[in-house]
Amino acid sequence: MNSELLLVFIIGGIVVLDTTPFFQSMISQPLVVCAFFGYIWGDIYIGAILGVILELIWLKLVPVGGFLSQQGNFGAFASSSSAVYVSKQFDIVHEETLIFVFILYSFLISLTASTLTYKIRVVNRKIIHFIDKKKINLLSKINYIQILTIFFSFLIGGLFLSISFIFGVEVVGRIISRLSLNFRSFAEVGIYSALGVGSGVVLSMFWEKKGNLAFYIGVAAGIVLVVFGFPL
Amino acid sequence: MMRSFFRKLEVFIRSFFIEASFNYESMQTWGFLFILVPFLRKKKNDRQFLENIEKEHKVFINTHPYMATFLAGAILHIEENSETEKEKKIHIDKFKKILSQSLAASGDRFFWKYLKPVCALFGVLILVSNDFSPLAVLTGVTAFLILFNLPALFFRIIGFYKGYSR
Repeated sequence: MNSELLLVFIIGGIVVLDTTPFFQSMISQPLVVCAFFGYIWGDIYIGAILGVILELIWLKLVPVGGFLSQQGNFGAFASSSSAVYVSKQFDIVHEETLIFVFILYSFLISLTASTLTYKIRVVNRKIIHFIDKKKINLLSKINYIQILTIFFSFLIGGLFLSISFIFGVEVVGRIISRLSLNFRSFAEVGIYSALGVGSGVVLSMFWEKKGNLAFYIGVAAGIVLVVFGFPL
Repeated sequence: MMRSFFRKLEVFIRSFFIEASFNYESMQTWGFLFILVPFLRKKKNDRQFLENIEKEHKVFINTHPYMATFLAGAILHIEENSETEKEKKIHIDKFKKILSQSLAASGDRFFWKYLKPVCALFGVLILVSNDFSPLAVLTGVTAFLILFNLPALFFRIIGFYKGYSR
């Protein structure tokens, strides 16, 4: 697991940087990150399904510096890396259960990561105050501040996502492997509901004043699809 | 004079880091100064000049990261072409206050509200309509990244030229 953990740390740090501090090329988006883990760890289907559902759910999130919200990118990273790894390491009978539980896990990480983002901003401010007090010229100050803030964002982000990956594999993964077979039908409803939520988000973008209504229509549509047995 | 191609290229590359030191006290102030470094470096031995720059530019600034090059180009143009210190200060203050806010508003609207969701939905549609096949996943993700990044890079490059030349 050591090489996988190292990869998660490095890619995790890059994802955290791409989300706000550096470039914002969208390689940190759920669609890209989930597909990436699906490819490199050999389960494209799970990666792609998670990518599509989480991308739709977090479609309206804006990576604006001053706006602190759920960090969908971090959640997608933690859940896709853990889900694809667990599907290869544990004896998982039903993919539906795995996908649904890791969708829920991504919400947990997304919420926790908003606190992490706030902490990174606080660390940035402390670094700026620390360097600004030094008796060095302006050019050195600017360069030191940028280098140190990038380094700490990478380090803190990489560590957070590595811990999320370990927790996802060792705790969530083991729980999934012990869930009863009856959970499968519940998980199917859950996946379609999550897809419905994503569709609701898309609808609400074109129907802004009735955003909540669009959200409920999406969920209802997802549940109707399950009732009529639409295959995933 | 900021004429050399490599100096402009350096400004462009440095614009990727504008939100690196983002915080709730000074927002993008240090990131913006980081973009101006190639210009500041020309006068690194002029202590008085650097002290003035520090006073002038160490103010609260927050704009859209893809549009920041436009503001940087305009500020560099003023720094290089203003005849008096007073004229320069008035222009820079005015530009920073008005332009950064309007660029932030228009950038947020165009990039985050329209371009990102549309490109992501296009990528998702490619995946879903091709049954999540490996080739479809690769195509969908690549299409998303290219469709989003081409306009984003275009705005970063053209923004600097427009800001600097006018």
